[in-house]
Amino acid sequence: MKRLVHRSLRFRLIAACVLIEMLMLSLIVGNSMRLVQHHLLAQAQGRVANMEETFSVALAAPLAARDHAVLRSLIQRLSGLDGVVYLTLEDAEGVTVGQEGTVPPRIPDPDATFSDATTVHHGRLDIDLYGQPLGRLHYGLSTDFLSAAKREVLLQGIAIATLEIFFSTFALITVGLLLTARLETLTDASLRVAAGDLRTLVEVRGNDEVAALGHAFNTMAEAIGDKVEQLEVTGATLRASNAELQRLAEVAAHHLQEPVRGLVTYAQLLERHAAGTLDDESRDYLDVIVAGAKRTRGLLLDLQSYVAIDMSPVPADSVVDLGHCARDACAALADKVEASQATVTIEDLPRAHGDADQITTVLRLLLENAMDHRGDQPPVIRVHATPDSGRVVVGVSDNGPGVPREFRERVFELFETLGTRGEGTGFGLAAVRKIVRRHHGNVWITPGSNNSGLTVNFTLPKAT
Amino acid sequence: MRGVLRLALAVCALATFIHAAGTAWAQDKPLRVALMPFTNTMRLMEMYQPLRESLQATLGRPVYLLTAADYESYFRLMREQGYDIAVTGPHFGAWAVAHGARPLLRYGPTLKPILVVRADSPIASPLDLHGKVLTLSNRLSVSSITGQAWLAGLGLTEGRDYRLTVSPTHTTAIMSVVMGEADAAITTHTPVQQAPEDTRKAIRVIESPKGFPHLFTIASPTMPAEQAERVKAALLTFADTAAGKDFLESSGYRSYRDISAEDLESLRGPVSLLSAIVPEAAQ
Repeated sequence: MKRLVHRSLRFRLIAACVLIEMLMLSLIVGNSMRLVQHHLLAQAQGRVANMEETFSVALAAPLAARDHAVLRSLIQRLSGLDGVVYLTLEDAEGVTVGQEGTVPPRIPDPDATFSDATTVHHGRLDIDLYGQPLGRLHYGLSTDFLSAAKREVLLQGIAIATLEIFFSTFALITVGLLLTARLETLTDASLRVAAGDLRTLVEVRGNDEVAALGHAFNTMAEAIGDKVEQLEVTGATLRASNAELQRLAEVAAHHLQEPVRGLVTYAQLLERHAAGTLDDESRDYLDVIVAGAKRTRGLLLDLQSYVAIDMSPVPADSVVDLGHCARDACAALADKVEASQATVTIEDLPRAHGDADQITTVLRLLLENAMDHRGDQPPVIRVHATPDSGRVVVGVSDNGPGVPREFRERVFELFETLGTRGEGTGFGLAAVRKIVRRHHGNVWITPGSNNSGLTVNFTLPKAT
Repeated sequence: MRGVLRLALAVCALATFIHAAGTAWAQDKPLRVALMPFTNTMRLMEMYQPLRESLQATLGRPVYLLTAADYESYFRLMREQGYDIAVTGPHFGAWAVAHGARPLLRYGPTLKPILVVRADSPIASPLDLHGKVLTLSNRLSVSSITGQAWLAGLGLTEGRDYRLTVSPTHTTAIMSVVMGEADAAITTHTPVQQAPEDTRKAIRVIESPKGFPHLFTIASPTMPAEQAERVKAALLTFADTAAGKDFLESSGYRSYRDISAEDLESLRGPVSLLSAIVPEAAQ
């Protein structure tokens, strides 16, 4: 039932309509009852007034004449009137001169108003003539007609309401079937589009809202088909272009290596061969040539590594131990750590989704970056991590000079350096960003406390 | 001397008691005025409303009018002293005075038995009633009693010379003649005068030579004299008011006057006839 309520629009529509109809019918029946009671009570009050007038006219003269025989005869006749339960007549001295009907043992006080709360309405009529009291009539009138009328109205109202609900439910179900059948067709068509059948169209009949929805669906499906086709073409073009660019970078990196290496080698040979004939200025020129060639070779190696990142796949379900990765990275840099007298602290790190080799590379690049951009003091580096709603934020903090605010984005561009002390080529942080993004994460820099050091943070999906 | 003093104190105490009792009598209960049912109850009540309202205002106590279904019931009411004041036929009044009631006032006109016939009737005198239907207002009314005596004096005998029927009131007796149910009715001038104009035009009157005092207003034998005098004064006060004058004029009663010894004497015969009809009245 719960599934039916949640899944079936048709059921919910019908149920809502029937509920509203039941509510309105209840209101109508209830209001009818109220109006009927109001009018019946008004009529009853009028009837009581008429009967009192009748009693008064009939009884005043014989009461004044103390004609007891006539009074008893009249009481007998009047008690036979429709609805009269009892009559008790007293003269001006309070002496009962006649009574008929089902007289209560003790005459009750008169009721203030006519109502069906009791079966008998008790009344009292002071009979006078020209202001002279002649006697008093106690009477009881049946209220059965009021209860019977209300009961009849209620039963008829319920019967009519039941029939109305039955027929309207039938009509709603029929209309609902006709309406939702076309919606189901649209649903099937949507599922087919979602499954890849982009040329799915629905047959549109009529000119109503559902037909308009069908037209809109067909328009949407055609537009999606066209867009997907365009995307496929564009994607293919992009993929070809990327492959060509990657190939170009690889080729450039590979084929430029050899000339640069020759440049260095022959510059060094020239320096040794002509050591005795070169003046100091010439030797300086050769040193510049050698240094530039070495830097060019380093840039080509970095470019080759950068391009290679895209060629390494990221397994979707692989899980890495970040602590293990950090320790591997640190071990790979053992010589550099020792040389720079750096202190590296690796805190407890969780597991995360990612490729172990690439995450190790990220951590190695960040540790290396921290040591390359050190301050006057030996580097103090800390690797830490904190969970953050479905992901892990890994941080590598150092005590270096930090990065000015305006460069904190720029340093992640390829071959961008701060031009400060250090040996970087602008490759490391660019490679870090590229790997992290391939792992669906982000990377950013936060400054250290007391204007000292910085933390490079990156996120990885948390391992479940 | 001491005995005289005690007697004086006792008389004073008794007088005080009687006065207090009279005052209490006056204030505790409504004053019941019993009207003789010479016409229908509604008409009777309507007619005497000005008198009731005036008495209430003057006496400072409620006044209830009451009547009876017929003359027999009314005379029984008088015998049982179920009234404080009675506006009654003179023979009933004379009978009551003879039995302790206090005579207060009577209406001024003389009450004469009359024969009412249709205007176009061939009946010109009581002697023309041979073979006719004669209706009475009631066997006990003074007009009926004295009227029948009048006919008897002319040698007419019920059953032999005329057929007798009885109507509930004077008004119905007159209406019986108008409607042709009876050839003649014995009544008095007052009901004729109180009848609607079209009824009066439809009838003719043959008057009896002998008259009697009009209706008596008497006080119950149980009413203290002081109270009776207050009521009498209130009646005379009413007669002097505009409403009272209108009442007396429209009803044909015209005025109040004291009930004299001659009035009572003139009714000795009707009272004897009444006692003959109602044995209880002779006791």
